[in-house]
Amino acid sequence: MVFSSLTFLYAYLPVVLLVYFLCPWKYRNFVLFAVSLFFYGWGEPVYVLVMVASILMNWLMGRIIARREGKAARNALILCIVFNLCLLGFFKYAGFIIQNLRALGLRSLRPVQVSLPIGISFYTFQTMSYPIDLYRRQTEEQHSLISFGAYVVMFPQLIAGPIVRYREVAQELNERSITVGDAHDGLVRFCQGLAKKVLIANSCGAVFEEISRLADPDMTILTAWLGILFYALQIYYDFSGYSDMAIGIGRILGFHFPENFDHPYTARSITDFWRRWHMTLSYWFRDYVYIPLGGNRKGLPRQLVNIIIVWFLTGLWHGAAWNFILWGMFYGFLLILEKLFLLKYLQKAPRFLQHSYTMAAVLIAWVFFAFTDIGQGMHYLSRMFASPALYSGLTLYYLRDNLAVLLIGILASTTLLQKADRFLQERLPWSTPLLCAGCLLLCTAFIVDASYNPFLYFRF
Amino acid sequence: MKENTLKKLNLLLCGTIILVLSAAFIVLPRRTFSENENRALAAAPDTSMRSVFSGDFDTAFETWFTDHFPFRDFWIGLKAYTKQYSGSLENNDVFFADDGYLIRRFQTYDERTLMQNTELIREFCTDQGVQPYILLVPTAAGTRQTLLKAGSYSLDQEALRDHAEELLGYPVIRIDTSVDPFYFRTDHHWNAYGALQGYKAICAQALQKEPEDFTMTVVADDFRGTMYSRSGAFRHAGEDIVRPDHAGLQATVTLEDGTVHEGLFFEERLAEKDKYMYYLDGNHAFESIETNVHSGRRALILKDSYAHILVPYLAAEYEHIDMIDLRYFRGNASDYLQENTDVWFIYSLDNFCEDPYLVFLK
Repeated sequence: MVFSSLTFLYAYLPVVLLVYFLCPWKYRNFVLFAVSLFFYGWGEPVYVLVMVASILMNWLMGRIIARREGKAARNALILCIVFNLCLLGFFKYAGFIIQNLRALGLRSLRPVQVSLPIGISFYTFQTMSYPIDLYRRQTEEQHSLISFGAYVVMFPQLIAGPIVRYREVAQELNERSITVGDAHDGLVRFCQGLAKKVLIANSCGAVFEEISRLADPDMTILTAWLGILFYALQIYYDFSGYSDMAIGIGRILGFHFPENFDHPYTARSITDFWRRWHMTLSYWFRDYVYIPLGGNRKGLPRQLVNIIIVWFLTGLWHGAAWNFILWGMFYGFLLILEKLFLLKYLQKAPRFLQHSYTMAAVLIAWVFFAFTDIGQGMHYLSRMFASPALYSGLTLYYLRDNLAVLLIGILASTTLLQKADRFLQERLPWSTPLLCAGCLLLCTAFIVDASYNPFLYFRF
Repeated sequence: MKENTLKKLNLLLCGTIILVLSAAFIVLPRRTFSENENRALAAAPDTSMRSVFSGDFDTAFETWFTDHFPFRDFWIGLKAYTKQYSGSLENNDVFFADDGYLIRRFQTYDERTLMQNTELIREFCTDQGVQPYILLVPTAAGTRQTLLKAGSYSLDQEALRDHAEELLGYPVIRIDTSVDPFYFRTDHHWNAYGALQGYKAICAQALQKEPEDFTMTVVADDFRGTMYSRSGAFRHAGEDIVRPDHAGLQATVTLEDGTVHEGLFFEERLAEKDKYMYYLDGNHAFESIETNVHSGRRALILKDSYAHILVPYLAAEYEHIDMIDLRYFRGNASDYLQENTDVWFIYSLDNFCEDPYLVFLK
């Protein structure tokens, strides 16, 4: 069940909120735990068992880590991390690993098909923060299994982040209050996210989808660039829209989740970009991989190796396929270049050059990301630089037909939207309810339309 | 204080929208059929344990919930007009054109499909030793480019037809598409006047004779076609269904299931949404037509639905016509060939370039 579905908006969400707010205060974590498990089991009921096992394991190990010192705590931590990584490894990477071993000649291995439990990449990372932070004595033990379970499986950020570390919500998990202001801000944030996802991301996605399937003669240079630009908008609004919805629902439920995006497409270098894109993942890798590996404290060669390791893992985390690893390594490579010398020169360059360099690199990286088949991705990339024609009537058509969403998408990815929002709130405060309700209605229309299928009729 | 009131108002407003629509879903009666989509809406999902644990329950539920969402057509229309007024050229692949025209987008085609289709026709005709007549009717996207908004790129269908002709190795009949009306405004087909131009072209270029006379009668005025449904532009007015009559012509239609029908026009279809089915009852795998014309000529027509409105004219030329729609027909088309049979291929140009069913031609 995704947030941008009618089932979520008009069946799950109203029921959940009614139950949540009508129940006595002391049962709220239990309600949250129960409805979240339902949410999780909706797509694949059997995987609720995986979830429950994960909660139990992490909670129990947490008890040991919190109550013991030295070796015992250390062993419990290692066991817990291994358990989490095995979970992720089995469900997400088993197929990929076997496929590669087979390609290397181990033909006797049978290919496996494991369907991916939703959000497993997010919640295993999220959950691991608990035992690690406990071990580092950066947070306190959660005594209630229900509350801990509610944290792990909490439906707003379960599927697509932000990756909330335990210590960031530990206090609110035990004690939270919800004011009208909280609920309102949450609602506004949710509507913004919904609009980002449904009105912008889905529309941009449809254009890219079509462009990516064009035959070679139609794939002119500018069409290819336009296509990947639409993809860039799609993935940003999809992901950040989802984070907004998560943060919004979190607010309504009484939680403050960390921000996940900070206008990444306004970045002036790749280093800057990764401080703004999927921030909770970057922090996670920084705190739980890069720094433990020694970070930059063990000399430059070691630091470069650490960067490579982190970016290999970042790529792999995004998907069990080589194109994601390539994508991650591409960024690792650029970040190393920037660290070594590029950033120094870049900072002296005019601003538009900084932006152009960053966006060009980001767009090229998205090509790696967009095509799971590396051959296809390389072909697309080649069309961006070499094609018999610069543009065609089709290029102008895509531009003209989607001009509104393109302009809104580009403008809203800058800080302009925030400024407009602030202006409206100060000067025209009544516009907020109108915009929220308008977004909700319009998104409903777009979601219903996505199921509208007169295709059969048209053909047969 | 005022700020808090506005916040409460916002919560109340959005909460009401969600609750009212949720309640409407529960309270309102379910439709089983969507006229605009011409399909049965999803049935309620199976709630047995096995179904719930099968892993497909969520999608079944979602489909059902969305199919029966209250005021479905209103939302479709809202999206369509949002797109139109925010400057889009099309919605769901239908161009908003001037003069009330809704025109199906046709910008790209797969060269391999076109080559395969032309090859299949050539093979069939060579094997059977026949010289076919071929009509590939250009669509409004090609011939009504002046009605399209600036930037609505469309394929050059004249060049495409010439290209198809070259691949086929047989002449393709040229139709004068400049007359108006020629197409329905809200449907992807040509109308009775367009088909009349097709008939005239056929007489001049294939049959080498003067066309017969037809009188036109309006039989319905509220036809809203496929492009109307698909585009979601539900404020478009209905248009006329016109019956062409040739004095003295009598015809009997036999459908693939053996049903016999007097006349080429199916009155009862005028009561339905898709009134284009008035002409020869819409899509059938096979239809055969006996007429009182004693020309001694027979026709085998391999076609898509563009032929349905043309055949009432052709009926004045043939004493027997067999119509085969390869999308559904799995028999041998060659079984219907006799010595005096003209073989026809009648398709809309866009469909001909994309149709994957010519492989069943044998």
